[in-house]
Amino acid sequence: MSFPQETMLQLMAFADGELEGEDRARIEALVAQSGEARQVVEAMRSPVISAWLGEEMDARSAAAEGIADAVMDSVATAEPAGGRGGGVVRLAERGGRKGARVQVVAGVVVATLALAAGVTLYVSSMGQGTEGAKAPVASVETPSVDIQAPPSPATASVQGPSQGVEVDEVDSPSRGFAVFEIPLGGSGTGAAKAAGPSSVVIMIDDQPGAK
Amino acid sequence: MSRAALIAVGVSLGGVGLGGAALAASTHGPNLEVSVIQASVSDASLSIDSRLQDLAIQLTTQQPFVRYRAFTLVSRTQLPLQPDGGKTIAYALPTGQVLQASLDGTVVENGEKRYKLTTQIASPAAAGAPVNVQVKASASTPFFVGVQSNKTSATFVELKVYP
Repeated sequence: MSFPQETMLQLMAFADGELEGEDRARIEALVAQSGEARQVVEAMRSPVISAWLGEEMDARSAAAEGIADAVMDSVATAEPAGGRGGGVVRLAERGGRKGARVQVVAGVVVATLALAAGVTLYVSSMGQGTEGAKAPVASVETPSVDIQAPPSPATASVQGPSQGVEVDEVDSPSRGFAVFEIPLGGSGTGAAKAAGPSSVVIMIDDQPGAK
Repeated sequence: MSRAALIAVGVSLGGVGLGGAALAASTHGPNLEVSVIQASVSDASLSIDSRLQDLAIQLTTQQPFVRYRAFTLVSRTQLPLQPDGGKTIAYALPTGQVLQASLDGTVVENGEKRYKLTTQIASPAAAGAPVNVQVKASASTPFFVGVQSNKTSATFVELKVYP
């Protein structure tokens, strides 16, 4: 809402048909030029808002008049009869009801427009897809845990700094045997084969006395 | 409870679960995997059991495996090893022989933990003393003890220590 408060009040008075003279001509020109001004006037003339405003005004007027009556009664009681109490004028007699209506209308219109702006922002934010909904979750960081697939049997036997297998001793008092060193880690040859871990095959002759 | 709080609790519980699994594994100690491989000379084309594919290169290129053309996995099992000279485990091989193994200890060489194993393969039906083999093996690295039954077949026992 870009209108100053005075202009807003004049727009409301215009909607109620209570504006006259130069002010009326100025507001008519404003309504003719500004769509926002037209919206304010149309909103004020809406049957729903008018009915609600009527009820609100009646309630507020009743409350204000109740307070005024109480004040007047207390003043009348404090001053002697025939004194200067004649200078006190009741609010209702000075058109206070009209001023209160303008204030209530201004508050309702501002609240209505603020609600409409809020709804507009909400709808536009919903149209941005699911990324907006994920934003709060994005602040929760995933723990830095390295998850690795278990090694396959072929790689498990050769990975890392494995030094392979060494034969410390073969004790075969009655049978022949042979020890074969075999490379692990593929069919590499030469230096590549020598650099990798190695394993052994202890081949035993099952026939005693073959040693 | 907010969603962020739920995620934090889930991560904590996951960490407890992983820690528990690691603790359970550590209390099991090392295991010895025993695989019995039957090898035979065959006129047919090369045949390697699909469960031995990780050894295909060694079986087809290295002595003494290249003497044979057909390789079948007869059995595979894991036996718990008791560390530091604990009880010797015995396992009856499908061939009628008996495998005994014990973990004599561990050493650290070049930052790597290695296992000192003593194995023995005995043939109760055959005469003669059993054969004892002492090795020092890296974790998950296999070694083999082969017994040549006759000119056309042999039994290889693949031994592998898992921490």
